[in-house]
This record gives sequence, structure tokens and C-alpha cells, in this order.
Amino acid sequence: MAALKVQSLKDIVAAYGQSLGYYNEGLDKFVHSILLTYGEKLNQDDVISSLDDILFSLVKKYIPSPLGDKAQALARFKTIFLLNDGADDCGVSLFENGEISQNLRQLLKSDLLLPTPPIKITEMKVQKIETLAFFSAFNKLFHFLRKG
Amino acid sequence: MVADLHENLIHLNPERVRHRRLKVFGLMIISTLLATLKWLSAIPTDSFWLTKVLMTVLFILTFAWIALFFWSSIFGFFELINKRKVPGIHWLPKDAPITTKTAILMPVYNESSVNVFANLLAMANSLQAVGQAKHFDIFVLSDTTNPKVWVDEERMWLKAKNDMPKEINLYYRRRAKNTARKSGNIEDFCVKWGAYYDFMIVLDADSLLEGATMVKMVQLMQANPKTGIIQAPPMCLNGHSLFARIQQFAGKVYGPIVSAGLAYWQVGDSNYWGHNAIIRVKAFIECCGLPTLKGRAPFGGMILSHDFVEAALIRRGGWAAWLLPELKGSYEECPPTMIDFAIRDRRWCQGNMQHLKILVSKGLHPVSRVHFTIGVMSYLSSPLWLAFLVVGTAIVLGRGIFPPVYFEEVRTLFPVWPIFDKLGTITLFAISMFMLIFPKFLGLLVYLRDNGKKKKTGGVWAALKSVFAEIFMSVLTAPIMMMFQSKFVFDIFAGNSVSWNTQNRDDTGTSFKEAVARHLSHTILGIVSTVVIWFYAHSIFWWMLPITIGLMLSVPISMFSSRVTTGQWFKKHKFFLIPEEVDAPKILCEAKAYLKKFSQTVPVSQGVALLVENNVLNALHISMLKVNGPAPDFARDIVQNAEIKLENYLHYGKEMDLTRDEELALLYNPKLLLQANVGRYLKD
Repeated sequence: MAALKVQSLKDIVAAYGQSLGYYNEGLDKFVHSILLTYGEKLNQDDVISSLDDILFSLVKKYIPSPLGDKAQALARFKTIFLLNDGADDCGVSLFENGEISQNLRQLLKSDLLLPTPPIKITEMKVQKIETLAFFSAFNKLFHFLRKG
Repeated sequence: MVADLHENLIHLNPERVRHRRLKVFGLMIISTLLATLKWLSAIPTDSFWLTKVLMTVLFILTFAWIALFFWSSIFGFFELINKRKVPGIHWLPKDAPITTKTAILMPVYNESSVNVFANLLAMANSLQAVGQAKHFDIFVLSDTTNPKVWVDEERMWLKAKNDMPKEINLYYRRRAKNTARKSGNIEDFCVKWGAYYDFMIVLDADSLLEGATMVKMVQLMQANPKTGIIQAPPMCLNGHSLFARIQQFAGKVYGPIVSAGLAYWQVGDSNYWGHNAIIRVKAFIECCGLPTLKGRAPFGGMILSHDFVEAALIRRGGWAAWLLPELKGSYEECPPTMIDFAIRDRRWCQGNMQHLKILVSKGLHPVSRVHFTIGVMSYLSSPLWLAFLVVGTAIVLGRGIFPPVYFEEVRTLFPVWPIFDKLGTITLFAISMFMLIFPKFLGLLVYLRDNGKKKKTGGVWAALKSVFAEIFMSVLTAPIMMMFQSKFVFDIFAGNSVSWNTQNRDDTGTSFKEAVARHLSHTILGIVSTVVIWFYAHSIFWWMLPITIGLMLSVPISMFSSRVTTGQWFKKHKFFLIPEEVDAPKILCEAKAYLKKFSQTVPVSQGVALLVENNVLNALHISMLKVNGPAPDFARDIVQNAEIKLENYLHYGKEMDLTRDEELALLYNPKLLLQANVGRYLKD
């Protein structure tokens, strides 16, 4: 979005941190840590996607494999992270060395917040139902009359 | 106990089933034949032969319909009075272990998510209370098309998961494209997750099933391995308007003998009413892949009233289908107003008329064909009754305009007197009324026996006066419903299809404007026919008045009966009181408590705006997109407009004012949603 392009890198990183639940001192540390560690790697045209890529690379080891694509898996991580005050719990260690608390690890391993069980396809054959041809003729007649 | 179980099983054999059906349908045919003979002698002798034939055919069809209802209710009454269980099904003791897994399915379509999840939590707690929660999972299967409701469903899912007993998994998925509506929704579940489950309990958005009832249903399925469906008759509950309270009273008092009567002759060939039923997943997967019918809607296209068809197909596949009136603790809500009732009827009417087309399908059990016929007749009886009245009135009007010729051209010694058996007609009318009303009093007897405690029912007098009041209201509303249904049938035969609308479940009442819009034609018809009959067919004026007065007063009747205040006034004066109103079932109280709790925390923002403001819901929504299926294609201009509106919202605080498609396009764009969520901090 154009809105994000005109902002400074620091502001965008701070906004991203806030969206993950970092505030006040924690937010300052977060911004400092990100800019120091990843500042040069960030894509200036799409900072948020860059930050998401970094976050995913750090946390993918905690996310069970059958969770679909990257965006969905990362979103589930964020949901659990936010619901369990991950920012307070982990601080910036998440972005510095990819460490998260034991509690979060267990929650991520569990099927918590899985919207459905994994899909297990069973074929369901379409049944044959014979119909009265009379109604087709009847339908045609009425459609003809209505058009007329 | 064991002896009872065996007795139930042993006593059901094909001979006994045949005997039951022979009795009900035999008596229906005999009573219709006798009444028709009387009718033939009562028709005016000077009527034109064509009108005689027409009147007789209409008489046979309408009388047979009444007679079936009457005799079925009589046998139902004796089943209940003798406290007999439906034979042929193996009942288990309460503590029989559960060894299977059941999915509770809640298909929703733009429903109030607060209501839906409140009901589900109450049911889950009820299961936990009976100690069997671990054998159940819950699926909310959304076909919602309103983007704001979609987001709210996700919000409520997250909220409800916190309150859900730990043993029960609460799942949620929304289909991007709601192919084949509710039947397609269930089919989608079976294809994707059916393999995990032995049984599924199908609900409606307003369904409530007690935990003990669900456990009993599962035990019955386990103990009867050839059973495909068990339907627990739902009882109307939680009605506040006068209209809803009358319906729930009628359901409570007359419902049991109707259900018992149906179960008496249907036995293991019963029907399925689309919700509050348990289905064997294997049987459903094997038999219930519904085809799209050839031809255009309303007769062609997808099958609308899928429940009857699914029951017939399961029966065709060799599985049994049972309606078990013994299963209590199964509830639903009634439409709050006559207009809401009619809107629902319009949908059901089309679904049932469509069954005419598949009545001949090969391999169906004869009783399944009877179910289809009964469904068709439920609606076709209205235009038949209307035609009967119109032809009858026309005959009398004809006599007024063209008086009988007493002396024909050929000279005779005596005048030719037209013979009209007035007494015979009155007798037939009295018999018809008796057959319609008498079962209500039989129902009352059973009701008083089972709910006789004065505190709960308001006493015998309160119940009796309520029955009379219900009959009075039925007389007033029957002609209005006759006109509604006749129009629906005509519309359907004229090729007009119905759209899929969410059923109104609010108690807001019918406004004057809405009542006039819906009932103006009824009012005019009532006034015109009253005037015409008064001047030109005065002899039938008083006979027709109960019909014409209902039509003339349709606007005030519709408004009056839709009001909660009116319902409460009648409640205060002990009209239509049912025990569940005085002492509400625990499950209903819990559902209401959850509803109150959740209603207090409804966010101001909705849809995309809520996802922009709420980090958790934003992440949750994106995490659930995959399970909701691939995003539909949106036109380029829709996507562009949506982005511009979102930017204006973020930068300048302008109202988003998104169209439905624009909002959906944004909801299917995870990248944009994330950027907007982060972007709101930049705005600050």
C-alpha cells in the first residue's frame, strides 16, 4: 500500500512491532534489535513482507508441518503469540536468536486454534434419481408463456 | 428391562408393519369413501355435470388429507396413552458405553453468530454434564455470504473456544462458494472430514439438543447398526410473540400425538426433517450424493428440500430411518410472525413441490413416496381448498344469477324442483370440523396427563381455554395461510424460483407498512367476497364469514400476533402456557446466559474495519483463509475500489462504506489486511 511507502523504516518497524504486541520499552528494544540485526536486509519497498519473512524463518521450526502455506502458518503463530502475550514473554530474543518460551512452543505444537482437522477425503458418489419428464415439458411451457 | 427390549424387537415384523399401515390408510380410504358418497347425494341436482365432477374431485382430495391426519393422530393417541415405545428399535440403558465418535454439525448462513455460539456452548456444557463430552466434536459449517457476519463468526469462534469444555473440539470453516446450499454444506463436511466420524448430529441455527438426548441418540445408533437416521422431534421453544407462543403451545400439546401417529405407521421407514437428527456418516456418504435435477428451477436445478430426499435415499440404500417421539430434549425456535412463517413456507413449498418430479424415481421405498406426497399435499391442499371454495361459491352465485327452471319447455304435470341436501352438507361440514379439532383434545388429554402439575401448566382450565383460543386463532389465520400458500404454489408452477434468505428470528414485530404490503390483496379479496356473497349468495354468507373475516382482518391479525407485548399479555393471563415457559430447561437458560454475556462485548467495528483494528482477529482471519477454500475471482475495479477505500479509511478516517464484494475482496487478501493492520499504528 502506498500509505506505508512514505513512512520511515523505523516507523514501519515500530508499527510492525506494535502489531505483535510490543509497547513502550519493549517496542524500543524491538525496533533497535531489528534495525541492528536486519536493517540492511529489509526490502525498503515492502518492509512488512520482509519482516514477515524474517519472522517466519525464525519460527518455522516451531510450527507443525501440515499447516498450509507460509502466510497461514505465520498468521497462526501470530495469533497464538498475541493471545499469550508473546511480546512480554519472549521479549526481543525471538528476533535475536529465534527463541520462544516453552509455553509458546507447546501451544504451537498443540492443535489449538486449528480451524478444522486435516482434510481426509472420502468420495461421495452422485446418486441417480429418475425424474418425471412431464415437469420438464411443464417448465418449458411456463417459460414460453412468461416470455410471450 | 431386558425383557422390554426384546419385546420391542420381537414385535416388529413385516406383517405387523403392514397391519399398521393397512389400519391407518384403510380407515382413511373408508372414511373418505363414505364421506364422498354422502357428498354425491348432497350436491345440488341442478348443478352442471362438470362442476359436479370438479367439486367431487376436490372434496375427495381435501377430505382424504384431513382423514389421514385424523386417523394417524388417533393411533398416535393410543400409542401415547399406553406408553408404548416405537417397536423394532433396540434401546440401551442410560450408562451404556459410547465407543464411537460423533460430529455435531451447525450449518449457518448469515445467522447471528452470537446466538449460534451461545447455543453450541450450552449444548457442549450439557454433554459435559452427562460425562460424555469426549465422544463429540462440533463443526460450525458456514455458508455465510455477508462479510461482516463472516468476521463475526471467526471472532465468536475464538471466544467460544475459551468457554468450550476441553474435551470437545470446536471447529469452524467457511465455504467460499455455497454450492447446493445446506445439503452441499453437509456433503462438503462428509467428503473432507466424514472419515473421522461414525455419526453426525445435524442442527439448525436455532437448534438446541440436550446432552442426554445426544448421548441417547448415539447409543441408539450403536445398538442398531442398520439404522441410517434417527430423528428427534424438535419442540418449539423460546417464543415471545403471540404468534410464536401459539405455535409452541400447539407443538407442545398436539405435537406428541402427531409424531406418535407418524411413528406408528412409518416405523423404520420414517423421514428426516433436516435438523435435530443423527445420521450414520457411512450411510450418508454411500447414499446421499445429491444430483442436480434436469431442467430449470423451480422444478429442476439443485434439490431444495434435501432432507426428505436424503431420508428416501438412505432408505433406498437399505438403512432404516426412525422418528422417535420418545426422544425428548430436542428444541428449535418458531418464526416470530405470520409473515416470517410464510417466508419460510415459501422456501419449503418450492422444495416440496420439486418432489413431484422425483416421486417416480426407481427403487424408492413406497413409504418414502408417501412422505413426498404428504409434503406436496401440505402445500397443495391450500389451493385445493381455495378451488373448492371458489367453485362452491360460483355454484351458489350461478343460481342467484340464473335461477332454476321449474317448468321446462316440455310441459310436465309437476315442477322440476332442484334438490339440495342442506342437512347432508351440514353433516359433512360437522364431520370435517370434528376430524380437524377432535385430535387437538386428544392431544390435550395426553398433555395434561404428562404435565398435569398445576404450577407448570397453569392448570386444566388454563390449558383448556388455550386450546379453544388456539382453535379460534387457527380459524382466523387459516384463510390467510391458505392464500399465501396458494400464491406460492401458483408462483412455483409459473416458474418463479425462490432465493436463499436468512430466516428472521428477531422479535421486532410486523410494522403496519409491512403488514399492508403483504396482506393488502388478502384484505381486498376478503372485503369483495363478503360484499358479493352478501348481495348475490346470501344463503352461504354466514358459512363463509369465518373465512372472509380472517382475510378482511389479515393486517391487524398479522400485526397483533407479531407483538411480544401481546404474547406477554396472553402469558400473564395464562394463555398458551407450556411448562418450559414456567420452568425453562437448563440448556435454554445456559444459552440465554451465554447470549447475554457475548452481547455485552460486541465490538463497534465490523468486517474489515474490525480486522484492521484488532491484531488477534486479523492474524486469526488470515490463518483460517486456507481452510475456507480458494478465493473467488473479483473484478479488477472491485479490488481497486476496495483498496482506495481502505487507504482513505487509514489515512483520513473516512468511513469505508464498502460494497459486499469489495469487502469480500479485501477479506480474501491477506497481504493487504496485514498491511492495513500494521498501517493503523502509522496512522496514530
